[in-house]
Amino acid sequence: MSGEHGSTGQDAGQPPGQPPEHPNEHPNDEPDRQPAHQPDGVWAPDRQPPARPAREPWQLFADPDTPARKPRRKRVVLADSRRRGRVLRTIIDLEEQTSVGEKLVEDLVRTQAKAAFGLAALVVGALGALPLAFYLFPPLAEVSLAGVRLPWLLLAVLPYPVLYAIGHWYRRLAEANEKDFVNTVDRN
Amino acid sequence: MWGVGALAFVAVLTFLLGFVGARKANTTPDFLVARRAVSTTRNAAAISGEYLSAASFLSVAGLILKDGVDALWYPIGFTAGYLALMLFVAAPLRRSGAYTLPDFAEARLGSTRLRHWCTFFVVCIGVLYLVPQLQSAGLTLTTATRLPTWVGTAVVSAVVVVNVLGGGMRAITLVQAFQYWAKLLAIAVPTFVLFAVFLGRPDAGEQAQASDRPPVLTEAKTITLPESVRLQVTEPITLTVHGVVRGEQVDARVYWAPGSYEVGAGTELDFTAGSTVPVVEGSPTRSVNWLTPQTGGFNELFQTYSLIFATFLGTMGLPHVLVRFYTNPDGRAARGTALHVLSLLGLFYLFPTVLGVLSRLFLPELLVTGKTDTAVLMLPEAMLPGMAGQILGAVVAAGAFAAFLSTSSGLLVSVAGVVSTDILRGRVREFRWATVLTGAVAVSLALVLPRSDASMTVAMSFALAASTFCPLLVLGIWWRGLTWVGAVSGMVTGGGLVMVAMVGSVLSSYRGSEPHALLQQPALVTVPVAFLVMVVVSKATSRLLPEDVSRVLLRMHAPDRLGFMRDRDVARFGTDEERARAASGGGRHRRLTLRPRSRTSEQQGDEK
Repeated sequence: MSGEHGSTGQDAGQPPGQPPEHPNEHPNDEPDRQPAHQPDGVWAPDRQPPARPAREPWQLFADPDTPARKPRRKRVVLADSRRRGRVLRTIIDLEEQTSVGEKLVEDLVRTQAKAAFGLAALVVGALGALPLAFYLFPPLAEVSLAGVRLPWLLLAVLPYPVLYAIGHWYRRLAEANEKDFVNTVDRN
Repeated sequence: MWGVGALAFVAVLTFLLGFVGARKANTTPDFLVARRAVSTTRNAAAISGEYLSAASFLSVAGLILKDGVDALWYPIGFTAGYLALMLFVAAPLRRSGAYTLPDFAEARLGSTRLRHWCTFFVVCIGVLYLVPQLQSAGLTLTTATRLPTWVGTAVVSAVVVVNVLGGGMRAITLVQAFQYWAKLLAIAVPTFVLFAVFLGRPDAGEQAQASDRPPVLTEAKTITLPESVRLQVTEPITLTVHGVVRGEQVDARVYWAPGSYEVGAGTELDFTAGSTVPVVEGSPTRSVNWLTPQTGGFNELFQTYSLIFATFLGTMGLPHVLVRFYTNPDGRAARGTALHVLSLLGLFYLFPTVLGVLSRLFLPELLVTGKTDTAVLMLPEAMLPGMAGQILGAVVAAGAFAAFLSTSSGLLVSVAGVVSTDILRGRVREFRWATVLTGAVAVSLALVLPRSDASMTVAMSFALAASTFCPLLVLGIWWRGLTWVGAVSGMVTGGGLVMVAMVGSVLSSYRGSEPHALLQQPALVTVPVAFLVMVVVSKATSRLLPEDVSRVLLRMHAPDRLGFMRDRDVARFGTDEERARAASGGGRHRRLTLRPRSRTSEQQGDEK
């Protein structure tokens, strides 16, 4: 089953949505109406061109040097929903992780962790310093701005916009990291 | 009168919205995670609605009245907890495809024993959180309508149980989203009005000034103590007492020198105008201490940091909060929801702060009884005598009522979801049984246990969550070395320490002494210990590392559009539509159906 996964080299040039090459041998597009015993994703060379070739994430995890790249093999995708099924099979394939795939996942987790823990340290550093500062320098509490004492300003109003801003920052960082990951996957 | 009307209005509206939401709910995923199709804005409002409990609506103002500027750490912590949740947990947790917290643990570490421990702690935290909600409901109803306390507890429980029975998560999402806005309105309008009243008073400036004296009563007042308290007197006062003081019956005008007085329940204290107020032991007595942070020495510093630890890290471990994140369509939406929640909470918490400060000026008598939780409810009538005050009071009471309803619904759904899927078989009928069971347990505990400040009990459940689920989630999501033995040992150690502290603090308060800071607020010690135990034991048992750890990590961290996410509830329970796909596609589930749903496809799926 898993042998066909890397075998899309030849299909790479075909745009999605192209009409089938052999319409007569291709009785329906509706995968649901296929006989129940037919396993999905079966290798059937001349039924339908691939829906979105060469962009599948799982290709990343296949070893580029395996016979999978042999040009005479042809992978067929029956319909869009089947494509989803293939991604699932890739997840199963991932159990036998290739070193490339594992390295990429590790890198992604590391960059995301760096963003999350870095910003958390920033918040804890900023807010967590306040009680200690008030404890060590009592005169700080005597300062007042516009009739309101500094501690009340610092604790009642200021934290909320700061927390929101950091949350916003994190979302941008995390989504940029994810975009990078998707791009790396695509390049492979 | 107005109060009863407002409460009835909120109850009926809640019931109707629940009914609307419940109409379409019929499958297990509906009941557990609202089919994972809740939009970001609605989900954020629902999360905030559920999160702003009695502790936020009543106790934050009450604690500010009592403890002053240091109590501001409660709302900060409650909000910052969401930032921690967003940074460490939100998106990966959603992408794990789990439908309850124990399910996440099993998905990550593949151990049913760990799953059962998680179930145990979810039920502990849920009930610990639910009981003060129900008790505060009784308090609100008594304050607003003079009905006995148990009526409020019973009414809230009944409305909540009926709503959850009808449609589970699907039904309460709409209810909770509505209740956020109801609460915001119910606290914002009185705040604006009362603040305007305060500014309009001629003596506004003088009263707000810091003084070295305890708060002063502006007019003569008779205070009846509902339960016995220890009062601290810092300035000599004369007052008339009818009741028991220091174990002796007193019925006369007395002179109290500075010192500590134990006053029995039911005692009447008559103060003259201009007299200073004795304060319940453990709170700052002088206004200047109230106004200035960190005047309580090292113990208070420790407590502040411990509170920061508990609230920052505890939020991510609260089962009723986490379960709402499973209702997002994908990981990206989960992150967006958390960010939106940050803004909604920040907006809300400005108001209880103002009300707490105002009640220090207008309701100093609450410092004598120690019932500071009622400050928000009593403030409108204290500041605005007559009809206007009564109407505002009714609005606040309605908001508080909404707070209990939404938080209790969320807790009930999350606990019932866990009980029904882990102890029972997880079908809709069992979910309903679990709801009734959980509700019954919570109501009986609420009626039996003595009431304490909701924020205190809630802070304890935060500490419990921070010492059990926070390490499990953070290490489980970011560290591949975690094993199930490590996770169980860490959780049991952390949770056990918090429970010991809880028991110790209850015991020492029965003996009449102030519990040690470490017992009151143990998180600063228990959370690091739990993390440490988890890491050390995992390293020692590294041969138990789950084989699929890379696959699970990939699924949790891979961007949504790569399509690695797999929803476990669908794989386990499936709906008609999804069962077909679960059979043919191995449990993959997309929200958008790509192929038309037809009888053939369903039959085919079933045959397989």
